[in-house]
Amino acid sequence: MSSIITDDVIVKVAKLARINIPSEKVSQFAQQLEPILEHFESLSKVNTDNVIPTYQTTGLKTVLRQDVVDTERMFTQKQALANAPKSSNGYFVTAATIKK
Amino acid sequence: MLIDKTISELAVGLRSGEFTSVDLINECYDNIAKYNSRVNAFITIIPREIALKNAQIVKLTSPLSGIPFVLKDCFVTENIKTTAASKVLENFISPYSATIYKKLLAAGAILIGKMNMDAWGHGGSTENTDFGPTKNPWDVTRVAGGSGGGPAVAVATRMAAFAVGEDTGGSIRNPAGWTNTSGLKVTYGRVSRYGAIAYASSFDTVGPVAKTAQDCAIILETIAGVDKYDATSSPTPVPEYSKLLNKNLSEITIGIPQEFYGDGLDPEIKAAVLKVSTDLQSAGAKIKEISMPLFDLCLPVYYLIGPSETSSNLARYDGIRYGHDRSNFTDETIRRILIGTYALSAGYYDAYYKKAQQVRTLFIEEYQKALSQCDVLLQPIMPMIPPKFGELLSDPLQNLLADIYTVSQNPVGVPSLAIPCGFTKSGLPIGAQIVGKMFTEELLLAIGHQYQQLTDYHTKKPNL
Repeated sequence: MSSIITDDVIVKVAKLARINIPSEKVSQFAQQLEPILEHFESLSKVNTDNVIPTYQTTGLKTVLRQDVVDTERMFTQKQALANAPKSSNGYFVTAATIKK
Repeated sequence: MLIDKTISELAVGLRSGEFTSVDLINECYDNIAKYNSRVNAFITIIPREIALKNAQIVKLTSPLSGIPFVLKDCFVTENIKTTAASKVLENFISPYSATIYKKLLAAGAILIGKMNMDAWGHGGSTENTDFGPTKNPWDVTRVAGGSGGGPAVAVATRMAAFAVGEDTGGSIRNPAGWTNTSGLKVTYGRVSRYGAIAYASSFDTVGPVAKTAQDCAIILETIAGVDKYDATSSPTPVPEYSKLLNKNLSEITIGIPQEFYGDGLDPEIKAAVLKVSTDLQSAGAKIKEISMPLFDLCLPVYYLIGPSETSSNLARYDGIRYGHDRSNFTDETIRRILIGTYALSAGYYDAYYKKAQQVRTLFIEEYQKALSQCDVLLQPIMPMIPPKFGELLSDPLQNLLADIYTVSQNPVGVPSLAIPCGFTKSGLPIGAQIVGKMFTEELLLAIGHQYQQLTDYHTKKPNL
């Protein structure tokens, strides 16, 4: 059986997930995930024609709340920024995403 | 030792003046001083003087008033660090508290620590933690189970009277089984998850870890119920579980699903779990062999949907608003994020994620069918005794396969009670789980309680 998880797949998926994987570890992850994905192949043998997927098991539908401000769970600006590695003038500081 | 007593015995003793909450707190901290360095169960220990101060002023308004407890470190607590056992959150102090924590404080329970776990709930051995593995108090060369190893070990070693954990695919039941404690995975939606750090949103449940089924009943009636801050919490009324423990066993049929007792199960564990059924039979229960032929498929269903959901949930950790950046995830967490991202990615979504959700539907029907032939199902918790450190981590596929008995219930949503049911010849604890229909916690707790009246396994403590 040809491998499902090549190094290229790991690189592509890691990029989608915003995970930096050092190049020397890419093959290791590919080798570890290959048997796991192979194990998942057993699902393809199950007939699921006309079976509706289940996304949740609560049986609840369209749980809504009143569209009003809940002061019980509002943060002050200080609280919201308290855990930020970097903040300035009441803002979170992020790396630039637009090239100059 | 006072903490050997059940919660209801402690509540009586506190009211009669036999002992005080201060005595209980002191005993727990003395045990922490004695044992924690050998088992590494805590991530954060609340300073003793703070807990003592709370004990001095506590009013005895509920059965949990004045009782020392711990939380798995996945529940946010205002002003107290919450890590989910990951370096990503090693300095995170939440500006708000989880609903269950607020409910326990309102009941007068006293928090003494926050406990070690597999980071984000990713694991079944509490080795995937950035705070050093938790050790099994029955044999410190072996794992304590996971992901909630810390909470279970705290209860097993009497460093706390009870704990609250979280179960996504066995994280309460697995360590309960391997440490000789009792733990309840509740029906999906039974307990609010507001303030519980998410692993897999459609599987995550919050539940008690304690010495007995009766203790679990008392804790559950305190923490259960609908929460306006958790839209998945159920409005189903909360029974007074602790007053419903004496159900007549002769009205109960216990199903034994054959597929759960196959070749992969350790023979000593198999014998101990099946003995639960004969013990309950001698007390009047009926036994019925049943079949659940789809059983083997629970692993791919769980390990496709769980990682898919976790890859989405963990996307929020960007290191900008709080916490450290994504380079701090462990290899096990990266594997789960990669599997999930792959299963959700264009071209693979139908073959993996959607397919798993369809087989999940078949699984729900499988459980409904099984539970239409009996009231509860008796199942093993773990296929083997707690392994030595590193044994599971060295083979990622085997690491997943070890979860076979605990991952089929969460995709379905049904509750499951883990109880001690014996020991191996080498002296390691064995646990069994009793699985019921949605919202039948009172039945599971009643069966567990009556089993614990017939047996004394749950009273045994490790000799650390």
